[in-house]
Amino acid sequence: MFQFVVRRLIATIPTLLGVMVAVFIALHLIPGDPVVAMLGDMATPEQVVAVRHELGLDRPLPLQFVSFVERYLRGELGNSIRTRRPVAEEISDRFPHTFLLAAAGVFIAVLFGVPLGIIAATRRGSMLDLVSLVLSMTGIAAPVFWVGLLLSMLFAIRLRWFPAIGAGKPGDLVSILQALVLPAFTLGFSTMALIARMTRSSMLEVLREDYVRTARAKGLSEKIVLYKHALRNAAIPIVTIVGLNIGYLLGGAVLVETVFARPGLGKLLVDAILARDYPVVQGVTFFVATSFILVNLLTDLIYALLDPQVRLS
Amino acid sequence: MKRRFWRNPLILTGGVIVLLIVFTAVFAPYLAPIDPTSQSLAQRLLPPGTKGHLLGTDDFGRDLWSRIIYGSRISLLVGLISVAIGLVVGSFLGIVAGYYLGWIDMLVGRVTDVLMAFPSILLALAIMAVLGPSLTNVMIAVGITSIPRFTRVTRGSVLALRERAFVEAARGIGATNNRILLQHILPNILSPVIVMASTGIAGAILSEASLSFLGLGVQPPTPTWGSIINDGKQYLDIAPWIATFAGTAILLAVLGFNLLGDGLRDLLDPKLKT
Repeated sequence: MFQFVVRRLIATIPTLLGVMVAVFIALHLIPGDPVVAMLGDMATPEQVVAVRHELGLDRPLPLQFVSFVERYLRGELGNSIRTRRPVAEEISDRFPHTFLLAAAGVFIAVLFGVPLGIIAATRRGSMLDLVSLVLSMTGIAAPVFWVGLLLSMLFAIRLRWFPAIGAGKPGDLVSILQALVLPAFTLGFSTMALIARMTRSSMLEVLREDYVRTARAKGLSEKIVLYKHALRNAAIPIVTIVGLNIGYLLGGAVLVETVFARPGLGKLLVDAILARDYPVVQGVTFFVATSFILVNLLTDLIYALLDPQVRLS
Repeated sequence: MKRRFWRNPLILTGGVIVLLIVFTAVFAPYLAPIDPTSQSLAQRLLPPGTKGHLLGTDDFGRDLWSRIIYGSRISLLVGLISVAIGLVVGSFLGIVAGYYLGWIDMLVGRVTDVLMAFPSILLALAIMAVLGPSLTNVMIAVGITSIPRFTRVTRGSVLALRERAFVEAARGIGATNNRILLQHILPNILSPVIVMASTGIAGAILSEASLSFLGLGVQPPTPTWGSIINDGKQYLDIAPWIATFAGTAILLAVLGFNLLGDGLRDLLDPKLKT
């Protein structure tokens, strides 16, 4: 297992370096002068020169890249053009909101997706199976921001059960949780659909295995057969789907945060793009991609822990 | 095969929805009663069923039915072109990497890893931030995000095929690499590529809608489903139909292509059936 962990960690390094290269190059691919694009046509030549110097764009490209990598490795992601605050600070302010949203999204997706999949598998062909199928297909096909608006329309505007926007009052747990419910359900809906489908097919496969038949033949209750024998073995693909979807959830959070005006990383990114605040765009993109790589790494490790064949291959 | 095609409920349902959307996009000028960009402030926010406005109007008094009909053109165009970009570039890279292996494979593998290190909507957003919002750039951005998936699938298929007896035989009789790739390997990897293209169009439609919703896609006044939802966002309490109908259009389109893709997968590659 140790060797597997080391191997996977080493394999992550070139990807991280590649992400840095991509984020660095992006600024240089902007048509025209990126500094003029950032500051707008009204900027004075002095301002342009100052920002160009601040971003290191007045130096040769290889030197720019070396200092970019050095800065990023130290966690210095530059300053926002708009707010003049360090990008790393902006990210650390916003990240808890996005993390909370993604975690709540996963929680809801697993909480509803796994039982829905089990019910569909154990009652294959029944009305419940059909309902689960329709719900899953809809969940996968419905745009996440639209689901958010529909939930907002019903539960915030009509019924007034939850707030339509914001992340709650800081320090007030009840208000934070209230503000989290709709965004979390929105974000978790499509992942719930995927988890339900995966649980169903995985359970159906496992339920056909000899050891399940043996367990039933021993006279074990259906509950024990399902949860102790079948679900445990069906869990591996479910864990993979959950892991792979955390990355998707980070992406989906961009849209959900916009719908519910939550001050997370996604909203920070979209606002930065609209304001052409490129240091923030670069910093957030790098941060999210790095988180995504680490989550995938963690998924691989959990996967290897659950299934010895993976770490031996 | 032909009989199985017509008997597959997923293909039939998905195919009918897709055909309906293609029909709508092609014949939009005949199906839309009013110019989708023509405004009439006297007729703003009319509810569905109002005479002359089947689905009502938006905040500028524009006919929602016409806007949704014309929106199908953008969705379909972005879906098709961006998947074509992903398919051509991704499959080319996957085939070359899987067949030649060595440093080419390593390089392609690293590039694919980097592209896959970004959640796809984030990658599309970052590309749009660099290129600026326009229809062409949306197609490029969404196309780039679909490249790694095609590369992975084709590389895997080619890896499995390159050691097969018929490829060895072709090599044995002196066939060139180009001939082996084009005549022996390419036809055998078409099935997974076709399946991926269908579900890829669904993903591209969702990505385009997301970019438009965020105001970073195709710019107004061109009607797109995502931008219609964005417009309707401010009027959820008094005109909920704007966002509801446009979202339903996206849901149907994505569902159609997903069902078609699933059906084709069952038909062409039963091993992958879940």
